[in-house]
Amino acid sequence: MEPAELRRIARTISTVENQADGTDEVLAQAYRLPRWADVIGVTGPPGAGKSTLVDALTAHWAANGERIAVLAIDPSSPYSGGAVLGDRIRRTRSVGYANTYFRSLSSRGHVGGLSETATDLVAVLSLFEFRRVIIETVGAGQSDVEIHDTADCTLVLTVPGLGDGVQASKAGLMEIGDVFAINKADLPGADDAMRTIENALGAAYMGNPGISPRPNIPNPVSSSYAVSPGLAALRRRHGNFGEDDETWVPPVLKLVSTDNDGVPELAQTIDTFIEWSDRTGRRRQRSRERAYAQVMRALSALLLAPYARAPGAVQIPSAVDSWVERIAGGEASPLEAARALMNKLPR
Amino acid sequence: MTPATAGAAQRRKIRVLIAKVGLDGHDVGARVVARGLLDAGMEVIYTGLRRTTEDVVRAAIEEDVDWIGVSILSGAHQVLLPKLRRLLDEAEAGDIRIIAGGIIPQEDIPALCENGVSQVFLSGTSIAEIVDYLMRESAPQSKDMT
Ligand SMILES: Nc1nc2c(ncn2[C@@H]2O[C@H](COP(=O)(O)OP(=O)(O)OP(=O)(O)O)[C@@H](O)[C@H]2O)c(=O)[nH]1
Ligand SMILES: [Mg+2]
Repeated sequence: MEPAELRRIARTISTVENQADGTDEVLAQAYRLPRWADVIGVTGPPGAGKSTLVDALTAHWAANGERIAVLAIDPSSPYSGGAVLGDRIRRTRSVGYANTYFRSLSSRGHVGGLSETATDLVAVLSLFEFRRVIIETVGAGQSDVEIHDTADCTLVLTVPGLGDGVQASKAGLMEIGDVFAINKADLPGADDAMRTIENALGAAYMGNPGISPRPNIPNPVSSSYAVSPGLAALRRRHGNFGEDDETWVPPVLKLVSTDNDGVPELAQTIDTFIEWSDRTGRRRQRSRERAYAQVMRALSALLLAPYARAPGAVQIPSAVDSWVERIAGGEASPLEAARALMNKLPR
Repeated sequence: MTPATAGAAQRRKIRVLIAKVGLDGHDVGARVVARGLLDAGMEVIYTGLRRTTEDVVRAAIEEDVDWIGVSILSGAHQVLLPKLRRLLDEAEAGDIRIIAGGIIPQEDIPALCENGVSQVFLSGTSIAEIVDYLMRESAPQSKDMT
């Protein structure tokens, strides 16, 4: 990409990120594209090596001539609203490829591991003909769950020595991964970490890692058993072993991202998953879920707009302020206030 | 008013790329400045050590920053800073402004300012001074465009 094109991309992203004039037009065009970029989400605890891996994956795919973009999100300061965005420090191997674009984003107070406009920015990048977008989440662990709606393939990264409890069920990340990887496998404890994750996955999945065909013997576990909502969600995403023709069992890989060890295999696994997900209609189902979540967010923003406080503003909008006074004075409940305000919404 | 227009002005943040160019190997000063700008509500993109000027220009364009803050300790400022300016201008990024800090002799400053460096902050400058300067010089809303 020439500087002029890079500038156009960067400025369009700023427009949408700042929700400045022109945003509606850009998004209306971007969301009408026949096909989105393949979106790969990379999440995991702070310092796990997410940025290092993202750089390695970017270089790997860029070497095949693919046009590839990275959105790297870091948290904003709750006090000042500012941010120090440091993921770019690791952009050492991919920086030599002219067919790559890297953008650091602040979460700007948004919770869920992404920024408010991250999904819109994927649409914008698709408009600029990127075939692949890698998103690095904030990396706060538990709360980084939004990525699994936005990404076509979510990679959960962990490292040796975090301790069993944190690594597995407690982190809440077991439910969102399509692929898992132990980074820093050069450090002691990588095999233990791998076993811990495989065991946790074993509680929810049957079959071998990767694509599993339907077994010849009937499903030993009758489908009439009640399944937990969590398990039901996993089956919607990865299929139901014994019932569906093909199911997906998240593989667990070992990596040394700094040395590129395991990175080509990981890239292959991600592509295999996306291809499977496409072929079995799971990807389409996921994009429906994503669209629903986005409509709900946009709708709530529109509904709340008459009462919303501008970012950084101190004053409470006057229509709400009188209710706030009464609640503070012990004369009304917040629910009463909300009902009254809702009835006054312009239609 | 839709949410897309509400508060757009407030949503814009001053974005600053903090760059270390040249071969000198520590960045304590750069980190302190980064922290100060964060506290002032700015978005600071940090590139790490030993970047080429070409890398810095590419990063500044990709990140759509308003400013590049260059920290120099190696004495190569007379070469590197005018080169950075020239590369930015050639890339049609003339609106991205440069400030510099670190170890720069007083007598070199006029020549740097003539060669496209907006301001030089000598070591010992308070963060507050840098923040004030950036706030004052960053005209709000001047960069939102498609
Ligand atoms: N030993 C070892 N170190 C690694 C490996 N991968 C990354 N690192 C190091 O781990 C540190 C953190 O790497 P990052 O890529 O910045 O980690 P991150 O998850 O992006 O960090 P945050 O974005 O701050 O949460 C750096 O010093 C890397 O060099 C690896 O495979 N082995
Ligand atoms: Mg990172």
